Amino acid sequence: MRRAGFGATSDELDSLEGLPYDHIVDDLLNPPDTTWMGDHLVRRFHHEQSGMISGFAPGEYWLYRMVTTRAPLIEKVTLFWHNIFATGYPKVVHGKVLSSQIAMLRRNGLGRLDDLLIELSKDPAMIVWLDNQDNHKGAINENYGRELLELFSMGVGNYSEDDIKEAARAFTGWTIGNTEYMVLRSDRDSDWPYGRIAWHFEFNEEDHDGGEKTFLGESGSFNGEDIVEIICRQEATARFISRHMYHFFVADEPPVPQWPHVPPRDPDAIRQLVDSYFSSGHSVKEMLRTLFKSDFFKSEDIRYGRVKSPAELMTGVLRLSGQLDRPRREMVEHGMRMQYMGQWLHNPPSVEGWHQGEEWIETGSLVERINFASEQLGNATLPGVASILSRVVEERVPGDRLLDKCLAELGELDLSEETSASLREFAVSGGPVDREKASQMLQMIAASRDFQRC
Amino acid sequence: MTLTKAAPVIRYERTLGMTVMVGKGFYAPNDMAFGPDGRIYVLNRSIEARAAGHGMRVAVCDAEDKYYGSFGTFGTGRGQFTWPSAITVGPDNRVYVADEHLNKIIIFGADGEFVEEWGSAGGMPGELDTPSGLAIDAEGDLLVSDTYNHRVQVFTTTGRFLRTFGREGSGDGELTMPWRLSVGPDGSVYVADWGNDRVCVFTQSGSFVASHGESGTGEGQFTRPADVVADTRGRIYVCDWGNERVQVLDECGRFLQLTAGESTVSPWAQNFLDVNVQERDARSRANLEKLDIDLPDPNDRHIVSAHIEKYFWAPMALSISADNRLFVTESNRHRIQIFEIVR
Repeated sequence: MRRAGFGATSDELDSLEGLPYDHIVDDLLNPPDTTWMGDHLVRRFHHEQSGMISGFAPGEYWLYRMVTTRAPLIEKVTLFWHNIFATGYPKVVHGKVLSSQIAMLRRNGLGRLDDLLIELSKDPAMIVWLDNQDNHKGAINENYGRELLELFSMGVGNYSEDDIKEAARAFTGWTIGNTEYMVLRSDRDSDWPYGRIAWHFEFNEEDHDGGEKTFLGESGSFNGEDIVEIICRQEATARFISRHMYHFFVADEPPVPQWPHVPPRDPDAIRQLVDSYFSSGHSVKEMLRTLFKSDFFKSEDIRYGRVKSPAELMTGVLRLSGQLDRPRREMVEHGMRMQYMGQWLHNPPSVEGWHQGEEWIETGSLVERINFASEQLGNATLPGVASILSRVVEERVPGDRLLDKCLAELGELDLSEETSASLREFAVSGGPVDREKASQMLQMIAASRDFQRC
Repeated sequence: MTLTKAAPVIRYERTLGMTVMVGKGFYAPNDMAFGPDGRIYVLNRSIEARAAGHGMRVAVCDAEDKYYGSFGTFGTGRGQFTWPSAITVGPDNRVYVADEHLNKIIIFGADGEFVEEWGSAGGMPGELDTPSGLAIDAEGDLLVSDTYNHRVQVFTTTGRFLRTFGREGSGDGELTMPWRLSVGPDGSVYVADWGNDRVCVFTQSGSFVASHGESGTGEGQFTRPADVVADTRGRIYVCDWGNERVQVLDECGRFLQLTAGESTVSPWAQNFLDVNVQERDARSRANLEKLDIDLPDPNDRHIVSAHIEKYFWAPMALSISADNRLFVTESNRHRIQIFEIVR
């Protein structure tokens, strides 16, 4: 649940007890209940998460979804794609269309890669992010064609410069409606006179180059859909997406720019995912089913093999603390603190997205991560924390069992032997277990190295 | 888009305001109230603009586009706002603002000078949990929509608790997360029963009279109504927030008319465009009313309104002026659409 979702409370784990592992995986992939706090509640109290002028509100809105959803894998997959198809506010300058892109990823993230890439190519925020509105018949802008191949599907070294140019030709005429006015408003950060106006995809046939093209060794009068179809048939695409999947759901790999030079951590795992990709007709859902049911995913060797991203860490903590049982003014500060941890949703550092793994951890961000987790889990007024403390006290948990009880309450966490020994020593020292002592234990677990990983 | 059962009751007249964080305009306005001398107090609630000290403010203007300035600051101190949610003006010309985070009522003079504040958080009689609507009744007392306590509470304007009515539920006389409320010309109290997708009518003393509407997107159906007001003929105007529209009902609750809004360029907006000619010219070449666009869910009115600028987008409050005009405050479009009540 830590890697397929954002962790689980003890109640959530109790509800899964006795269910076969494969059944749990199937429910994660086909969630019977996809409810969350809901648009109406969020928009009633957070007006700026409704109008979404800026680059702050979409991330706060998404955090509500991640924290309150009953279908955590849907949000986790959306987060996975956001890091690959990283699209940022500073150029788009429109919170609503960035949020709409996330909604598109949510709708298509578990479907066929072909469909996802076509929707991505039509996505208004992506079009402006990579300048496809400036990609004209007879005067191509190859930015989208290049990133589609390099960052979104195949990876460096698997295509030529000519392939990039031909792909760009195929995407000419894929633009947004009212291009001139909308792009001018973005350039000027204009929300005048009446706030942002959402963008829509428009195909301009007159500006589309319908001529003969040669792409990845195939020839025809290709359009954008044809290019995506050819890309999705490539072994390189399957390998690239599989390695991303392993990196995000299993264990940290080196940053993507090193992939052409560093082999995968587990080549056989990548092979299994590639096979699943082709045997399922390019289904992301079936790749994930293969992944979650694989031995490499269940292996002890990769447990806690990933550093949580700030979004994952914050979501997991807030799901435990229960602070967001209703829309809260504090959400605004949470959005800021995620930035201090190094991740501003909808504002990646570059088109490459965020470099993950150990790169999340640096002095400043680590302090912020620990402070946030220990503040939340040390706040006995928050409903989730209060419930944990009540159970500890009501069950009269003795000192020598306090650590195990708290770890179970926080989602059956494991700690290193060294950390466990220190915390056990604290647990049996001083007086009997009371709310204060249990609260301190929760804070110390939240501050541990192991809590930062999943 | 306007649909009527008979001759229209309301007709679009003009728009007031534009998007401005500081100065002449509004930013995420969520309520308005009429004051003395034709003044209009518009409550703005922008968390994002708070750092500049301007996100939480009451802008003061009139219906003829004259701007008088603004007052109010972000914070938790006396006289400050954190999540201002509702505004009304008393017969004493004082301005009352509710804050649903601080659970207090903040009182200003007509020119914006802080007078006093009161209120405390909780669920006991006289305590508040997220006050989100304000109205003054014929006795000069203050009605407060007490959201998470699912009730209406009545106080003197100095904060002395008088009575409460409504309780959590969906039956007669029950409420679920009420939002705004108003007092009709006959003294009846109208409550937007947000969580039950209906509007409820009570006597001034709090006895249940009727409820109108049900969940849905059809005529006479509502999705999370935000506000409700009544005119001198008893007709009921519902701010159908979740459906991004305003509906008019007769005094018995029967559907008469609905409008999704038809804003034009306000004088303040026109002034902006006249100064910024590049935007004006590009705007003149754009089609901002294109309806045949490919949307993931064309029935999602929130998304449709995000695309079509003239439509209501997050209409949150209704007010009827002394000269019989309906004012619709839209948070996401930062403006007020004004409709003439024509019959």
